[in-house]
Amino acid sequence: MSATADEGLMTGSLICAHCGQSVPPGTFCGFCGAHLHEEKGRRRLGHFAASPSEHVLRTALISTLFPHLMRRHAHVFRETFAGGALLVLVLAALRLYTPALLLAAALLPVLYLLYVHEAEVWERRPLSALLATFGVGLLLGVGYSLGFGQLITPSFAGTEQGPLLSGILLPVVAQLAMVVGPSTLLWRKDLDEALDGLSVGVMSAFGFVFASVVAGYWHNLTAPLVGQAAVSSDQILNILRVAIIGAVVSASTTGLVTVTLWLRRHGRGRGLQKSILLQPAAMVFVALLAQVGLGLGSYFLSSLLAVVALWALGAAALLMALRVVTHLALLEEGAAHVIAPSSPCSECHMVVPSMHFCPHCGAARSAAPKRFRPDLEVVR
Amino acid sequence: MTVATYPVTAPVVGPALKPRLRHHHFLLAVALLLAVLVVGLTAGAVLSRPTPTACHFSCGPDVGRQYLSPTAYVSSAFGYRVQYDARAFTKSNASSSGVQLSTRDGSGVLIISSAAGSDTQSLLQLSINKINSNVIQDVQAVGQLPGAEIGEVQGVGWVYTGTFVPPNGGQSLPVTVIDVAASHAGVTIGALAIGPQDLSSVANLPFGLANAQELDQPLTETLWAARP
Repeated sequence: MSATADEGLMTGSLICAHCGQSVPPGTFCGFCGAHLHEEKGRRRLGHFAASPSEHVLRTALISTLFPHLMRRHAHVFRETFAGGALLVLVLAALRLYTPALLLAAALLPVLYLLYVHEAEVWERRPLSALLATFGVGLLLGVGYSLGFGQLITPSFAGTEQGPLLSGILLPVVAQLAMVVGPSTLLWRKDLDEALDGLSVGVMSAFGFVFASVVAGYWHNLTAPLVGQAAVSSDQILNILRVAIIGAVVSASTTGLVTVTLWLRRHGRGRGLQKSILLQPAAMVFVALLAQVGLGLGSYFLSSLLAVVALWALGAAALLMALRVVTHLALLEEGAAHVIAPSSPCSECHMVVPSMHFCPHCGAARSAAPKRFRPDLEVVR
Repeated sequence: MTVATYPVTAPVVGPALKPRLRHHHFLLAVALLLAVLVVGLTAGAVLSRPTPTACHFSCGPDVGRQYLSPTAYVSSAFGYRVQYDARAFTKSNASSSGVQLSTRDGSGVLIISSAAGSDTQSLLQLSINKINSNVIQDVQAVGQLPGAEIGEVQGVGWVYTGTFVPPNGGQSLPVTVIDVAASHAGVTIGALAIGPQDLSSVANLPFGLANAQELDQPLTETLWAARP
C-alpha cells in the first residue's frame, strides 16, 4: 500500500491479492469484493455481499429474498412478516379460516410489492415488469390450479394417476410456469443485473403461489365465514405449508434459475468466481429436483406433520442455496473496473470511493437501493 | 492491470439514507393492501357460497344400482366374501384379510379389513388410524352411526368429517368418513368408507356422504363365512 499526504487528504492504494487490481485501502476489495486481509477471503463467506454483517451460510428470509433493503429498514420488513404470521394464527384461533388462509397467501406478495417500490428495484417501467412477473404468475397460477384440477382425479391414496403425474409432472410444470413471466424480461436492458433476475423470479413465484392457493382452496373459502368448530392444528399446519413455506420454496427455486440466467444473458460476469453454482443449467436441475423431491415426499408421506417438516427443511435449504448463489453472483458481477467520487455506502453509511463493493463493509453496490447508487465511471 | 490512487479520507459517517416510505407509512401501506386483498376475496368467497337445493317432497333417495358385472373378494384368512360391481369399483391392496375398493371416478373409497376375535372397538380405532393425515386432514368425530351393519350382522359405527387435500395442489373438499365394524362367530370385519361431503341433497342426509349408497352396497352384500 502506498499513500501520500495531499492537503489534508491522503491518496493511497493497495494491490488486492485476490484480483490483482489496485484498490483503495480498506477491509474489502472495492473491485472484486474479497476480504483484503484474509487468505481465503475471495469468497468471504462470513460476509454476505448484500448484507455484510450476516454470514452467507445461514437461513435468512428477508436479506436473501429482499437484498436491496437497507439494513436499517430490513428489520421493519422482518417484524411485519412476523406480525403477519402471528395474525394468521390469531384469525385461525377466532375460527376465521378463510381470512387466515387469504392473509397467509397474501403476506409475502404484498411485502414484496412494497419492497419493489421501496428499493425502486425496477426503476424504469416498473408497471410492465410487474405485469410480466406478478400478473403472468397470477394467470398461470389460476390456470394451473383449475386446469390440473380437472385433469387429475384425486383419490384418497393420492391420485388415480399415481405419483408420476402428481409427484413429478405437476411440480415440473409449476416450476416451468413460474419462469415464463421472468423470461419475457430477459432481454430488457434496464434489468440487467443478477439481482434484477432475482426480483423478477421471486415476484413471479409469489404471484403464481398466491393464485394457485386461492383458486385451489376456493371450495374451502366459500364455507361459512365463522366455523362451528375451532380451526384445527392440521388446518393451521396446512395453511403455513401451502401459503408461506410453499411460497418461500417456489421463490427460492425460481430465484436460483433467474439469477444465473440473468448473469449469463447479460454477460456481466468477470470470471472471478468459477463455480458450477453460477451455471443456469445446474440451477434449473436443482430447482426441478427440489420441486420433484418435495412433490414425491408429499405424495408418499402419510403424516401431515412429516410433510410440513419436509417442506420447512426444504425451504431452509433452498433459501440458503439461493443466498450462496446470489452472493457468488454479486461477487462475479461487473464487467469493468468502475469508480466514482466518494459517496456514503447505503449499508454502513461510511463515505467511501464508489466502487462495486464498499471498501469498508464489503456491501455490493448493486445490492443498494438503486436511487442511492452513484453513476459509476468505467476505468479501463 | 489498473493502477490507480484513491483519495483516502479519515473515516466519515455519512448522513443516514432515508427510506422511501417512512415506517408508519410502510405499515399503513401493508395494512391497507392486505385488508383490501383479504376482505375483498373473503367477500367474494362469502357471496359465491353455494346454497343447498330445497327438495321438499319431490325427491326421494335414488334406487340403488343393480349389479351388471358382479364379482367378489374372498378373504383367505377368514373366509368372508365381499360382493361388488366391477363396473363401479376397482379393487386394490387385496390381502388375506382385507381389500380396498375405489369407485371408478376416484371419488369414494371403501377399505375393508378384518381380524380374529370380537373386538370391534379395536378394529374401529385401527381403521381410523390408517387415514392418511396428509391427504385427509382435520378429521373430527360427528357422532355414532345408527343402524351400522355389515352383511346383516349388526355392528357399531362412527361418523367423521374431514377435509380432503389433494397432494400437490388441486381443490380441497370436505369429506365424510364412516367407520363401521361388526363381529360374528369369532371374526370381526371393519369397513372405512370415505367420500365427498354433499349436504345439498336430502338423499345424502344426515351425514352428507355423496356416494353412500354406492359404498354401502358391498357391505350389504358381504357374506360371512359362518352364516348369521
